[in-house]
Amino acid sequence: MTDIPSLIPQRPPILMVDGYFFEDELHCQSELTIAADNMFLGEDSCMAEEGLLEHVAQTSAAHIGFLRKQAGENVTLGYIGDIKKAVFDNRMPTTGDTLHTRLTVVSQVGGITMVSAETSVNEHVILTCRMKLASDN
Amino acid sequence: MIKKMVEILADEFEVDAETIQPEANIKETMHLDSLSLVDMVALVNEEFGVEIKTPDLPTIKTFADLYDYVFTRM
Repeated sequence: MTDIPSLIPQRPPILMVDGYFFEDELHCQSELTIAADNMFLGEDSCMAEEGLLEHVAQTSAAHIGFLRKQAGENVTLGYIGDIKKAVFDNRMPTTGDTLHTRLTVVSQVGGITMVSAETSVNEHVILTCRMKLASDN
Repeated sequence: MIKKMVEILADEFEVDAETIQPEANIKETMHLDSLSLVDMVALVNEEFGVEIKTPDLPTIKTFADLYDYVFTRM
C-alpha cells in the first residue's frame, strides 16, 4: 500500500481514497472505508453517487500520480473530463462500508487518460463506469 | 475490414458513414477534440487490438492513414 497524500493533492475532508495498491502500469486497486463524517453522505447516511465517482476519480489520479513518481516526475492536478457508461447499484454504501475499486487504464493520449472502473462493497458491485481524466503536465 | 471500421466510427461518433472517406480529415469529420481523441484510440484498441501510440497520432490525419496504421499492425 502506498502513502496516498504523496500521490494526489486532495486532503481531508475531500480525500476519498485511503488505500492504493499498484498492480502494473494498466491496473491498480484502491479502498475507502466510509467514515461517519464523509462529506458525500446524504441525510439517509448513504453515499451519494457523486461520492462514488469522486472515489473513482481519485483512484485514477492516485494511479497516474504513482506512475509519475516512478518516472521521477511531479504529481500534478487532475480533472474529470468525461464520465460514460456509469451504472450504479440500487443499494448505495453507508458509514463503515469499505469501497473496493479495481481500475484499468483503457487508453492514454497526452495528458488525457481513459479508465474503466468497478467498485464493490463486500464483493457486490455497486458501480461500473468509464472516466476520462485530464492531467496538468 | 474498412467497412467494419467505418461502421464502428460512425456509430461511436454519431456521424454519417458516408462522410468517412479515405482522404477525409479524421478530426474534422468526427469533430474530435483532445478528449474524444482518446475515445478513438480506445475504440481501435478494443475492436482491432491495435494500440495507437501517442507519438504516432500526429501522423494519422486522414482515414486512409488510420486504415494503414491499423491494418499493418493487426
